[in-house]
Amino acid sequence: MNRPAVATEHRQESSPVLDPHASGTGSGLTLIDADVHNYPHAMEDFFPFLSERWRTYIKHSGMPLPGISMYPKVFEVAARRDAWPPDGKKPGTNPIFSRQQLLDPWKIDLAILNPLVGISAVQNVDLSNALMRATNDWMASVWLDADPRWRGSIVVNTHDPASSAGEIKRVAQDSRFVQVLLLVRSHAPYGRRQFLPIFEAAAECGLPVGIHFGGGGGPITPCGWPSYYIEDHTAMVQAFETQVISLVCEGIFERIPELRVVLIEGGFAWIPALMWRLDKNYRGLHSEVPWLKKAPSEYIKAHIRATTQPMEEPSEPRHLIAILEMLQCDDFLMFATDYPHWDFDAPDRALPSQVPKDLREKIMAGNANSFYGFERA
Amino acid sequence: MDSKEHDVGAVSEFEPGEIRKKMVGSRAIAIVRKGDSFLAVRDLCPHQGAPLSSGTVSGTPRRCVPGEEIVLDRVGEILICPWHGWEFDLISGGTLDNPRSGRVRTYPVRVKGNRVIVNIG
Repeated sequence: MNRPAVATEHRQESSPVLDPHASGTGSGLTLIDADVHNYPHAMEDFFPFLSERWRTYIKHSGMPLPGISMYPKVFEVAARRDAWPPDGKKPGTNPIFSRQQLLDPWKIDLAILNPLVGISAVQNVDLSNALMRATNDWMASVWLDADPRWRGSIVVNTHDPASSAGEIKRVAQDSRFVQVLLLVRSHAPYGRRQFLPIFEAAAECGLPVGIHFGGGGGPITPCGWPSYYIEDHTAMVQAFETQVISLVCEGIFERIPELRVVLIEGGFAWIPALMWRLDKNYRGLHSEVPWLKKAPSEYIKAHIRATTQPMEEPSEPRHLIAILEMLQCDDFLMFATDYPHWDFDAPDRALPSQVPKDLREKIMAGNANSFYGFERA
Repeated sequence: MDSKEHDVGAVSEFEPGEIRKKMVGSRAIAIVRKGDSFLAVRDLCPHQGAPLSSGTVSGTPRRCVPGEEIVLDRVGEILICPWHGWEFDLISGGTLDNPRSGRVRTYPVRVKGNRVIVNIG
């Protein structure tokens, strides 16, 4: 096996619990992209990071890359039509082209890479674990070494939380990895106790856990399978709601007080309504969950953050400003483009002009700087 | 007996742990017996007006961590509203684990002989 170790010279320092009054402004960082996607072009891209056993298995079986979605996405591989690199490979597979199309023209200081490889969709748990490790090593070697502005997310196998915990501790030694990555549509809500090793390991390493759009494990809505991608995409909010409710009610933030979670590509306009509903139910149902010591919304505001893309775009921009106020937390949102996907948010156009300057600066860079501790790294 | 005090019945009318509704003039009062003592609150939930006398007397779970056995404390001192499940401390009138404020009026109760006397202040 030719597995390059993750770069241990980039050692990680632990991050504190979220301080709602923290400010990341004044750091010199003016634009941080909290959600960019990188992909292998084909399974062969992982071969340098897999053992001979798994290279042979994949070649012999003709196994394709495991994906994370079941619907044709109208846009091929869900990408902007202009995001295909000149080498003819798929969008998001070429770190030089991604740099030239995203980082350089927009003057992005740091960008967090979330590789959407369907690790947990592979039912062979040994192969899934091998792909988990290979993806993280591929990230370090192919992407993080290619440009100092890239930051990585650690992929895990949610069907094997114990192995995932070990992988988190191995990879977190490289401080260019800034979070653990989960997909929002899971085979069980993440607050359930079976997933604790993943969250404990992340917290032990001082890393937040990112929960990103996508995944599978059952019918993608509580009512079964919809027909169209527009339904798949819009209904993703249901899964995000499920995960937030689960994490809070199962008491994971009481078990792991230093745990921080970021919701990636889930939008945010639904969050105030969820907080109101959960707080109201808590009044009459709190005896079911006596480990909670405060209103559910307090856990959300203290431990959870969200990225902006895909921005909700009400016809009246002032309605979006009202939602930002309802969040009651100027540190809640972190800007993201979702490059190279078709629903990319442009850094200069995504936020309506009515967003005040101080809040805009926090959303575009300050909040991510504080959340990920970039200045400390 | 003080003019604000009202005889609401014999001690033997009240079973421990049960709620009895009693009228004092036009005012409805929910009365709970706990051992040999009595607790009384206005029979009107401050949330949406439910009759608290139709609720349940219980306790409140002791703080614990997920996975621990859930044990009730203060059994007999907590009234659960019949509509939305808000829990009221029968001694203070306050709500428990409540993100917003909410309080039901309490009334002093004493036993004189074998009679239950409520002071409606």
